[in-house]
This record gives sequence, C-alpha cells and structure tokens, in this order.
Amino acid sequence: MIPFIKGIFYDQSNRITKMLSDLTSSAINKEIDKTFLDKTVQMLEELNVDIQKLVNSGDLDVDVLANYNIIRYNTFHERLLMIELFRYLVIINYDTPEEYFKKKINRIYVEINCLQKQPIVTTISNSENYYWALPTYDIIAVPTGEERNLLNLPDLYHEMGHLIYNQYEPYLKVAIEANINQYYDDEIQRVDAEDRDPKLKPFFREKKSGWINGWIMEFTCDFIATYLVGPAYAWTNLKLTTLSSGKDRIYADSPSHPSDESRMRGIFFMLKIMGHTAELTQIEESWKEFLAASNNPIPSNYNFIFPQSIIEQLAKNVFAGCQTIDLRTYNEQVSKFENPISKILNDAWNELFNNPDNFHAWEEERIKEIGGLL
Amino acid sequence: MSDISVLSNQYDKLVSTSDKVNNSVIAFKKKSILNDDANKTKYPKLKITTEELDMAKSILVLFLENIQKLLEDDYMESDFIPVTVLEDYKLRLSANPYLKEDLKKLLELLKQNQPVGEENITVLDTILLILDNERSSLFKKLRTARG
Repeated sequence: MIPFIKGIFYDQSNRITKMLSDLTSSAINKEIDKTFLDKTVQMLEELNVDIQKLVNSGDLDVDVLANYNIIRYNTFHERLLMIELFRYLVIINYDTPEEYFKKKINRIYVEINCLQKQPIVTTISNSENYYWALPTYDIIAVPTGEERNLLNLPDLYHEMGHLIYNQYEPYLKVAIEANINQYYDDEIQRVDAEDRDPKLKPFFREKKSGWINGWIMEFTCDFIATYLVGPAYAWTNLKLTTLSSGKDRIYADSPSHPSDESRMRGIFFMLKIMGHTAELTQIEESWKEFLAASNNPIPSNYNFIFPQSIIEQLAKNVFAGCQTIDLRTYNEQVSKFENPISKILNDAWNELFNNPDNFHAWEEERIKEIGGLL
Repeated sequence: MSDISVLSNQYDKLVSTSDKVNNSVIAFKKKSILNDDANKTKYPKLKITTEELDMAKSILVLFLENIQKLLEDDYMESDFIPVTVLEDYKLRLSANPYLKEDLKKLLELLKQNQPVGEENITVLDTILLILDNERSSLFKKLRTARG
C-alpha cells in the first residue's frame, strides 16, 4: 500500500510538470492575457510544492495514515482538475473566437465605463451549459460558435455582472440582507403568533438561506445587465425562460437561482426605474401571454418566496450602486457612442420581430460590422 | 446563467473545512502514534509540535460543536459547511445513532485537554468520511455545471 500511495502522488506531480511544459511552449496563443497565464503557472507550481512537501514530510510512509493521505490525494486531485478545467483548457483552446471576444469585451468595457480588468472570454462552453462566469478566475465562458450570434449576447452582460458584483458587492446590495432577515424573522414569528402551519418555519429558513447564499447575487447580476443593455436583456431572458417552461419550472427556485418568474418581475422593475416605459409595455404584454400559454404550476406559499417589496428594494440599491461606481446606463451609452454594442443587441431583437425572414442576413452583416469596428 | 459561481464559492468553503479537519485529525493521529516509542524509531521523520496540536484542538472544538448543534432537529446553520450540501450532510450525520454520544465524550476530552485515544479518533474518521464524500460530490456538481 505505501509504495502505491507514494506512487500516485508522484504521478500527480508528473502530470503538473507536463502541463507546465505545455503552458511555456511557443504554441500558446500570444494574445492570451499574460497575467492569467502567469497566475495559472504559479498555481500549478504551488500545487507541486504542496505535493513535494507532503512527499518529503514522511507522512506517506506511515501505514496508519493511509486513509488520511488518500483524502489529501483526492483534494490535490480536485485542485489540479480545477486548474485544468478553468485555466489550462482556457489557455490551450485560446484561438480566433477568443481574440474576437477579447476585442469585443474591451469595447464593451469602454462603452459601459467599467474600470475593472477585463475578463477572458472563452468558448469552451456548450449550448446546454450556455454562458457562465467564474469571477475568482476572471473568466466568462460562452458556447462554441457564439461569436456568430447576437440574441444571446445580453447574457454576457449578466456574466460581467458577476465580476462587477465580486468587486463591488457592498455598494450594490447595501442593506438588503438585513431587510431579508427582518422579513423572514417576522414571518417566522407570525407562525407562532397566528397559529400557522409549523412546517412554514423550515420553509422560511430555507428561502432566507436561498436569498443570502445565491439569489441576491443572481438578481443583482440581472439588474446590472438590465442597467447596461436595457430592454434586450428582458427579451433574452424571456427566450431563456422558454426552456424552463417546458419543464414546468417557471416558478421553481433552486438553492443557487431564483425562479424565472421572479427574475422577470425584477427586470421589469429595473426597466421601469430606467424609464423604458414603451418597451416595457410591449415586453410585459408578451410575458403575460407567455405565462398564460405555458400555464406552469405555482408552488404553494410562492408569494412568501419572492416578495415584490424585496425585489424592488434590491433593484433600487443596485441602480444606485451602479451610479456610484459610475457605470453608464444603456441610454447613456447610446448618447455617448451612438451605436454601442448594447444598441446593436436591442436592434437585433427589433429586427427579429419586424423582419424575421431577413434576420439571418441582418445578423451576419452586423457581426461583420462589429468585427470591423473592433 | 449556470450555477457555477455559487457552486465554486461553496466548494472553496468546503475544501477549506475538509483540509482543516483532515489535518487536525492527522495531528491527533500522529500524537497517538508517537506515544509508542517503537514508532519513533520506525518513523524517524514523523513529528508533531504542541502548537500544531493546540491549533488542531481549537479547530476541532469549533467544528464538532457545530455538528452537535446540527444534530438538533431545526438547526441549519454552519460556518463550516456550505448551504448546498448542508441538508445532505446533516442527514448523513444523523444516520449514525451513536454519533451524539461519541461526540459528547470527545468534546469533553478536547476541552479538558485530556489525551485523545484511538477509540475517540474513530468518531472523527466517521465524520471525515462524510465530509470527504460531500466534498467529492460537490466537486462533481461543479465540474458538471461547467460541462
């Protein structure tokens, strides 16, 4: 057993050496962000040091520690996989689409006046996993081939929202956690005072936890995206919600995400704050018809999960926070740049509704145009 | 739009707990091994300092006290375990009918600076195993969320 356990740690170390060799080879795309590359190399080297320390400590020679050493091996293995999946593969797969997105996100950051370091946009995702961001690694992943689409692109602003939230969280959410705690504490008290169903207590605790551990962040990123890209974000969200409707999940929440219905309510309120009254009427009408047509089940006590008062308070906080950190609203971008990317995304939805037969050609043309501007 | 941001934060939290608890248990295990003089010759590199043991003790006391609270019916808060796996973790802990009693004994020993023997470490092994499983399954979720 001892030689085997020692052996698997040596194997782990060898794998790191091979990855390090790949990362320092001349085949790596020169456009990759140097800080990201250097940090990846540093993380692999640090992991290797930790493995070497353990190998040299003598702990691996003690048979009664085998069980604990296996746990250590598994933890190192996961650490290595994290680096491989979220950094190494991003670097190795960096190619023409990533170069295009790099220029595009540079332009978007100028248009929205975001002073953060731009993330790397990688095309290692797929249609099922769609867009995702890993703020701690400064990456946003989009599906392969996404550089040829416009209608999903508003979601890039939501993912940028995750990076903005990561840096400016206190400015954006302000005292919303206290509001949420107060709301649910009051409801829990009412269970005893009004002799309501005792099962509501764990229900309220679970929902409070959902808000604190994930929903605040997701709502905030929706609000940031709406602030930055305007009505187009609502249409893209409606498109995405269509997928949930087939699974009867429009009103369903998960520990990480609020329900699609509540998110749409939030987006509508943000559009209202921003003064997009005419567009809002049009989207709200489609949304109402969509809800009626999809006829998804509404869970019991739903009104206690996503109270409108909390959603509105958070939207107001995020709007004020975005102003504090000097981000430009959609309208401000249009005033300053005439045809910013956010405007092209709103035009895309309008074109889709007004000239659906021509949309494909129109979209191709706009993408070429954007390429020329970058 | 995927769960990845939330899962990644929660995974980091669980790794931190799992590492701290595993290293703390190893510290007590080493102490137990080194109590036998024959082992000092058998494993010449094996060492454990008083500081390392003190640190291990303080980590374990806080961690185990939280488990004691979690074993109560309604309690669902933990600085050590992320919310995504908390319910499952609590369920797995509750499946062991002797855990409450064993934990009580172990905590008394730790708080009174009494020696921790092999029979006490067994309860820690059980908890570590649950923690290891939770960490692995959360990692799997994180990996799958990415695709």
